[in-house]
Amino acid sequence: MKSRLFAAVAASALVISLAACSSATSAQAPAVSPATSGEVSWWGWTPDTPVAQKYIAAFNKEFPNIKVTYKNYENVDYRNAITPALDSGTGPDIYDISPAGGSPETWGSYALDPSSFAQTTLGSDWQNKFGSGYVKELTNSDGKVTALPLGGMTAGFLWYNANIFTAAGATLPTDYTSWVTACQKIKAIGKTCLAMGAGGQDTFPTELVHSIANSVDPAWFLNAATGKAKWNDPQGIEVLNIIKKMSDDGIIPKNVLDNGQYPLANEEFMKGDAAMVQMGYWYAQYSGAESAKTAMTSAGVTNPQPFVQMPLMFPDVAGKGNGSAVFGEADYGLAINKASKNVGAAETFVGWMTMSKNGQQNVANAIDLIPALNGVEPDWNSVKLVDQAQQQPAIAKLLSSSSATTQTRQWQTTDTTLKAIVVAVQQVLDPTIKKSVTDIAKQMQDSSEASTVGK
Amino acid sequence: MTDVAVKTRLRGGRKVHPQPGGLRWVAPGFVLSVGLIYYCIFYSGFLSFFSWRGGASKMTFLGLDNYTKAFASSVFWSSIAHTLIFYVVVFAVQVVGGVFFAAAMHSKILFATLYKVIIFVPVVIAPAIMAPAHIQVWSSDGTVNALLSDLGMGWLAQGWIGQSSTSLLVVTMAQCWGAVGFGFLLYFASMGQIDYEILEAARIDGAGNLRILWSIILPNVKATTISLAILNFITALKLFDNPWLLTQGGPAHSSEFLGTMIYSEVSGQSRNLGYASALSMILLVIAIAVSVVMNTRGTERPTRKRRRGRTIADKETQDV
Amino acid sequence: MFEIRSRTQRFILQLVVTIAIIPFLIPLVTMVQKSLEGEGWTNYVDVMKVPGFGRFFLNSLIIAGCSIVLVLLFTMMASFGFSKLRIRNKEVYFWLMMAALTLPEVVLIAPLYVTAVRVGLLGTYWSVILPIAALQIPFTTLITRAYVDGIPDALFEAARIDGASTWQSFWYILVPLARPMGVALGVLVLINAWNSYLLPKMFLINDSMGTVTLLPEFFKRQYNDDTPKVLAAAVLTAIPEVIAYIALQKQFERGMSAGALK
Repeated sequence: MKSRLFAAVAASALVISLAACSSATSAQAPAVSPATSGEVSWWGWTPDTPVAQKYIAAFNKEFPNIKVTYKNYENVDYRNAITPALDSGTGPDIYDISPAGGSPETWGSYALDPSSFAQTTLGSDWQNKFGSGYVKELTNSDGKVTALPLGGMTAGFLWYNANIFTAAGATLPTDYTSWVTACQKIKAIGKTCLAMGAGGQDTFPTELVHSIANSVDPAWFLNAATGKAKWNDPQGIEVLNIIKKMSDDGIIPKNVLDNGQYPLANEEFMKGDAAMVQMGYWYAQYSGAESAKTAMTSAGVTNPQPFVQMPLMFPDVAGKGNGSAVFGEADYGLAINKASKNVGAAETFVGWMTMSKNGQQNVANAIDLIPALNGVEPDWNSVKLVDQAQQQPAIAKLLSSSSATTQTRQWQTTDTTLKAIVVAVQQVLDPTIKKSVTDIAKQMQDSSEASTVGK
Repeated sequence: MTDVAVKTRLRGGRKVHPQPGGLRWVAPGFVLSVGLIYYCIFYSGFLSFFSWRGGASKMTFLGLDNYTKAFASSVFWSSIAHTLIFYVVVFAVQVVGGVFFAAAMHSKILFATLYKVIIFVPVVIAPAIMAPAHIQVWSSDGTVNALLSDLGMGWLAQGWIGQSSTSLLVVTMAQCWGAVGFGFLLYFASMGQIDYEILEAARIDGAGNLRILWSIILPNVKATTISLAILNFITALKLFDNPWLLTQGGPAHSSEFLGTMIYSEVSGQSRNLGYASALSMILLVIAIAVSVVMNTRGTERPTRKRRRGRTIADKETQDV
Repeated sequence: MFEIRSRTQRFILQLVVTIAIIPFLIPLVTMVQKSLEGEGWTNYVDVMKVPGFGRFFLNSLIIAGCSIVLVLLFTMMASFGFSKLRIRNKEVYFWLMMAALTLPEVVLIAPLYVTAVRVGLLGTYWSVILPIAALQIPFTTLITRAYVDGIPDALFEAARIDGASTWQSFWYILVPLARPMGVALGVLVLINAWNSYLLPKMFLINDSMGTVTLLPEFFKRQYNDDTPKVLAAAVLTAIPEVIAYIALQKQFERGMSAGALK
């Protein structure tokens, strides 16, 4: 008698296509040339509807006769809605696919292989025209490219509130000791040092673990994820111990398990109550003057006065001189539904978004995604930041180092492993759990599942 | 014709022949609910023997592996434990709270209508809507901790949601918030049917309020209590909304229920829909078994004749 | 129920009840408080400015209305049949329906999407109304049957002797007498239909067919929900239900009381 939320979600996912299932064999894009008119539907968990509408408006300036309708789903709803839709043949013409969680496997079979289309547009070395590894990350195990990348994402660094640091007289941390000192100064003026939320089932805590791991041993995290190393190797135990220390020494706040990163950490940071937060490149958009105001209002601030938000490399907490490498991959790509009745128009739209300078310029200017196409940079004249002088060079620098990542973010880590890491972090941070770090690490290893992707 | 015989005895001996042809009256409701529902059961039963990621992924036959995986999983058994604890607490609170408020509302107090509304509104509002409010109340810097410090019990303040020792408590309390109103409604109504003469007689004999509550009121609302027992058990087994919205079964599975386990399995990126189906089947079997047991033990139809004397409800409408 | 012998006792009872009521208010107050953060009452205005706002309320009304009619009709008929008419193996049918009551929803709505697609109902109101009704009927039949049991058989006997058909007995005797119960059922089904979220989201794929429960979606973003507006939308969604409850409160109690008794 209560809400059907749960039931319907589970149910719709338990659907078997009773009609003949679409086979998993790849299909090259038929020789359909891009059309200049038609109607196209697009489903995705990202971008947000207002952003998508901006993209579509820009697209319509060049192709006014193609009507694009975007439908946004929340992450989980998307996964459960897209499968029955694609199965039944009533699905969208264009849909998002991300490298993470095996999506190319699960939904790639419904998509056209855009390789020949991309080749026509960008030439025979079209794969290299995109960010390093992006196309590979969107290829399924049959070797079929399932989508063209729209943008990439990196994480493994922090954002800080420059106003708070100035007010507290604190210096930016570069290693563990300096971080503790900075936190003491920040807490002295009544602010939280690091906003963080590790409750629930979101996988944000894994980014913290990945960053700390990179400072302990740069190769270990991905080795453990792909089964070449164990999660309870000495490196793993050291990572968990560092997290425990961070909580004891006041870097990680006491309310960390009250809720997930969103909304807990985000709201605290946006309200101006916290000095630092660990978020990825997508957070750069809040350096924008307008976006900062909107975000602060959403967090519940009346009459917001935007603060100066700046990126900061993750401190070398293990103190071994490894720094902490940033990690990233394609964030998502646009796939064309094989069963679509508007393939021509879909190709035009996808091509414009992913492979044209204008389309990618839009992506770059939003400072939310890293443009998938190489050589496209934000047009800083049209991007208004809160403090242009301070933030612009910092973000530009972040962008260029993001394009040069060598580690992937979630492509090579299974969902099971991510969940196991989250549970381990929660066990370490929960004051009422008395398990030893060795036991927690062992449980993390036992509940994880090695990834076979990409090797 | 046993049911007819039973009925005639209840009605004081007059023989009543029910009209024939009842099936076509029952058919529409029966077909709609049973048809839709049973189709889904068999469907899930079928799926529970496979490993399947959904859509065009391969379906691998696993035999009973999904079931053995469930029974071997410590998360599964903690979910069962959480379900039982949850059930007992919510049922107790619902009965105590429901009876108390119902009895109070049947007495002469001011603002009764206002109170009735406040207690019942939680039943009306969907859990998804209330979740942020509940989280706010139980956060480390939330209402409960603030109240505790105000009352001088600040040492009790803790991170209720974020501790595996107290996360179940938060989920249970959130559920009780809505459960009391429902219990109140049922008890209020059934108390209104109690014969006023019995109460009068007891008072004349000098019984105090508590004695009356225990010996007269409670036995008379037994039917309601049994219904609530069954309903609560089913709810506890199926429970999903509140634990998912508040803690998502965490931290570290400390507030996990079968419902959240199934949802996790289905909505995660790497999922085995067969395993989720197996869990559903297990849930189904437990639900049916326990409901049947509860119902057979609970429904002893009262065979004493009830003279329809003045009930509480009658008296109240007269007094007003 | 409690006899109050003195003013002190009365005062104590009033006090105890008032204090006991406070915990119920807290989350409600918090919710409204949070919905006023940020831009304050503008949040509510923004919610109402969502394109199709009025349309969503209308859709919810349509779905709730049809569900209520369907459930009321089928439930009355079924309880009439179970309680007053002769059916071979009646209890088997009854318990089959009751067994469906014990099922977790997860098992139920699983293949509904496929069925909806194959039968061509996807994107119509029926794809939402039928499941909602189907899931309510076992419970509503259970409590209505008990209520109808309480209506004296003699009435129907008399009618039959006078030559009334089964249909006439149903329409002219049962339905009027069961009105309080009908009202109670109406409120219960209204709450469930109005709050239904994922069924409409999945099955009502046209933008113009959304329900009020989809309103908060407009303010949810990939990461950064506009929580105050989401809550404002939630409050606006809940208000009609609360009003309906208050208005029908008396009828509801009368209906539920007879139904709960065995």
